[in-house]
Amino acid sequence: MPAKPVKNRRSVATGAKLLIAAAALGGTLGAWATLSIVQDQTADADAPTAIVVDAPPDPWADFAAALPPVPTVAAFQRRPLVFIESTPPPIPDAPQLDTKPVEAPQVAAAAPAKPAAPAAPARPAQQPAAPVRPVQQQPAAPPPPPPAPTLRVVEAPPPPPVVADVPAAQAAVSSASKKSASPSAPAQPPAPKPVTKTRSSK
Amino acid sequence: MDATVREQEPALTGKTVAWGVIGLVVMILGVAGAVFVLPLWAPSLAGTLVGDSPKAYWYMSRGAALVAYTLLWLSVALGVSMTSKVSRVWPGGPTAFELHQFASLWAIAYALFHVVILLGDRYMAYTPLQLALPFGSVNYEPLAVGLGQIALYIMLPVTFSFYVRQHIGQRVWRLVHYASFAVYLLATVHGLQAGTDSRAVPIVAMYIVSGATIIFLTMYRILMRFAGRDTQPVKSDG
Repeated sequence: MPAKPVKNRRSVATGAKLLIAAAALGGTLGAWATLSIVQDQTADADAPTAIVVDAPPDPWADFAAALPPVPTVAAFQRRPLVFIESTPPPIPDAPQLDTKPVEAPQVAAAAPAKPAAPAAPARPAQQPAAPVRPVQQQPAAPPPPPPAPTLRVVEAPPPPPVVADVPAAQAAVSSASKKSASPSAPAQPPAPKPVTKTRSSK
Repeated sequence: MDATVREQEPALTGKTVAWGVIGLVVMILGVAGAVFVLPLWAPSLAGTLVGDSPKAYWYMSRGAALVAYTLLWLSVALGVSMTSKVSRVWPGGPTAFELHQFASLWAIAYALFHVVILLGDRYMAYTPLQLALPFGSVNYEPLAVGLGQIALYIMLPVTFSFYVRQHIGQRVWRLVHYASFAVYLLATVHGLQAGTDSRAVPIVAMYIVSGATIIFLTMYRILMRFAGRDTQPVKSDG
């Protein structure tokens, strides 16, 4: 195999050197540009900061991850209470049942196991069927007064003997006044006294 | 005289045309990159130059380190291929020698740039003494950085032994050149331990290809020597 011409060989070497030099310069600039683009997007994860980032793993991280999630206060407040599921929901229109339990003893006595009706109107303690009338209440119509004794002019009988008839007349007057007596009876005009006529006045 | 010169002038060979085409493609790619890619990169590049702690120094240092390592790999691979006669197949002994020497010098240049540019990085705040003294990097990976510093110090006499080869003799020169394996090994450990890009997929691929190539050529060199073949390095014609 004939030896290669020296000039050709040197031109090949020169071309290769130029390529190496261009590749080295381009590689340096390309590495600079690539690092500036890539690592600026990753918050400069490498470079000197990598010294600080390379920290040992945190053993508490796995322990904390294994724990059940802790409910927050808001999540706990949103959680439905158990007793609400077994009892009817509170009625906002009937707060008196809870606020004035003492004033309704009759209700509890009449229907102790019956829950409050949902549509029960707000009202105070239930009144008894027959309320006690106040003392000052006006009574019913008073009984009609006994008919007043009419005065008749009667022919005076012949006068009995004066001395013997006086006690009987007084007893008759007292019984009549007792019969018409009443606590609520209006004041009656005094019964006219029987005219005691004596035989002597005629 | 003129006729003799004309006889020695080579004709336009296929390789020359191929190199011309390659050069033309590289030029086109360079122009296209300057026209289309550079405007896209310019804002990011400019962003690394401003601020209280510009990152451009750090980025350029890392880029130069990768280029220096690649050039070191190329230099070592060409050197081993010369001793094992593999370079005779491609690209040829003399061409391999020239490229080996050129790659070594550029590797030193980029390694020095990789070190010196760190002086501009305010975050690391290296001092010249810290950069010059092995294991003086108290702020960041003193051991790994120190291995890189030692590699650079060893690389200097190995590379410049080219020029004193006639004075020190072939044996000494060869012994000094064996240190290039140590340089490559120290530089690899330095890059893997101190490099912040060592976990990136392209960088890992680069280390794998580089290491596999050097291991293959070295094993081939050793096997060829045990086989009794001639393993003398190819002398440079230039």
